Amino acid sequence: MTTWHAPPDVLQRYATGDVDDVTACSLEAHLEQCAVCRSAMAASADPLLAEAMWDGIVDRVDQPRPQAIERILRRLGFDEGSARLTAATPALRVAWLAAVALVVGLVVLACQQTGSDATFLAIAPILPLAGVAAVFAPGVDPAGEIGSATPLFGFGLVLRRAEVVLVTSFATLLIGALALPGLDARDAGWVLPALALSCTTIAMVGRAPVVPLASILGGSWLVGVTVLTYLDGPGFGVADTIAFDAPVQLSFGLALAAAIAVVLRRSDLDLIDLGA
Amino acid sequence: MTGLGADDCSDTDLLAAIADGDRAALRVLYERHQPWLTARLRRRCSDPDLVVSAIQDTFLAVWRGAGRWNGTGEPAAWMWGIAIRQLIGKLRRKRLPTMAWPEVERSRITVDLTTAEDRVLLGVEHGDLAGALNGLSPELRAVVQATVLDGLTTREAARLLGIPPGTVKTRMLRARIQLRGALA
Repeated sequence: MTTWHAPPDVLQRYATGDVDDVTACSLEAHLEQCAVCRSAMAASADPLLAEAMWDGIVDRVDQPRPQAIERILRRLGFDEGSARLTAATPALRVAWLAAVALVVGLVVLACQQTGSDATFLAIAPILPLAGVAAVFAPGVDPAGEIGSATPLFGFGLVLRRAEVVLVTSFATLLIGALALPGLDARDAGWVLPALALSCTTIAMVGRAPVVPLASILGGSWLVGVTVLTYLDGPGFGVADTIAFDAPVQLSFGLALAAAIAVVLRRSDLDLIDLGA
Repeated sequence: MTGLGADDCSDTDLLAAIADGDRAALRVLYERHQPWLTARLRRRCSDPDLVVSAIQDTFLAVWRGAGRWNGTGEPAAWMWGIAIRQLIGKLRRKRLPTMAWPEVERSRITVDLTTAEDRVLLGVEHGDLAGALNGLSPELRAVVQATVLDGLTTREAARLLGIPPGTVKTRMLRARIQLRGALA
């Protein structure tokens, strides 16, 4: 324990920023150790500021603690409001994440049992599409009615939610893909169709009803790869169909680019009535 | 606080009570520590709103994290560690011109020094440390203060001072050479 205490006038000048750096350094090292000098500073502190700050603290203490996902978004640079709204995405709820993980897990398990990656490659593009449809579809988000009445509920917010859905679904799928049997380059062929289907849906929001559109796109993919696999005859898997050949992959890439261009160019997005 | 006057409780007792959700204990801790923490942060950030927000977040972090305090050492130093890092986190988010070093006359205080800590700090024992520190340019002194006194890492000091980490290192090196020369 120290027996020396800072003179009151020096503490006073320190509190108002009116001491030189060396004195300040010395005082700060001392204050960290000395309760007597700390309380001397407390006696001369601005009570109004202290009360105002305290009110702010109590206010936040009373608030519920933000969810983990919201804290992560805050760390990534989202402001408080956007973080909360984005975290309220149905896709981010544990149930959705668990469902995606379960589907991917079962599909990968089935692939490992049969030694074929067919099921995974057929299902993978559908999962993000379902998530995107859930973001845009009316009636899925319990807060949708309230949300659509707020000025903030523009396309930008929904788009951001869709991004979060895409990121989470793709992360789950990528982890699942690594567990596929006999992994090779053609097994990456689900990525472009998945992105193209999801982004086309996003680009068409407001022009076509979301759920039917997503169903048609997803259904076409499923039927397409099934028929193609069937036509190839026995001995050939889903990854051997032309859907996974370079020209078709390229056209999925072009469709993706077109969809992104449409999303970026659309000027009416803020006016879309998502409740319709 | 039940049964105990606010003055009787050590900071350690208060932290234990806060960990149990005692809001009155947080208030006592706030009254004891907010003034010096605010004054110290103010010397490192010219934006009063940012300091207020950092102080609020500090006590919020104490409220939520009091259970994580390991019970050893000085609670004041622990809280300072939280406060300065809250401030740095905010500076990172909001790129601001930082560090207002008030240009004041370099008056030395003459005090009766009795402890080793204070003797060393005001440079009685090891040459004229205060004089040597005063001889440093404000830029070098800011780096010495951030790394030595505030206990920040090079990266944290760089964020606080708004300069690249490499610059912190070179300034620290120059300051060390200059101090060694002045104290020899």
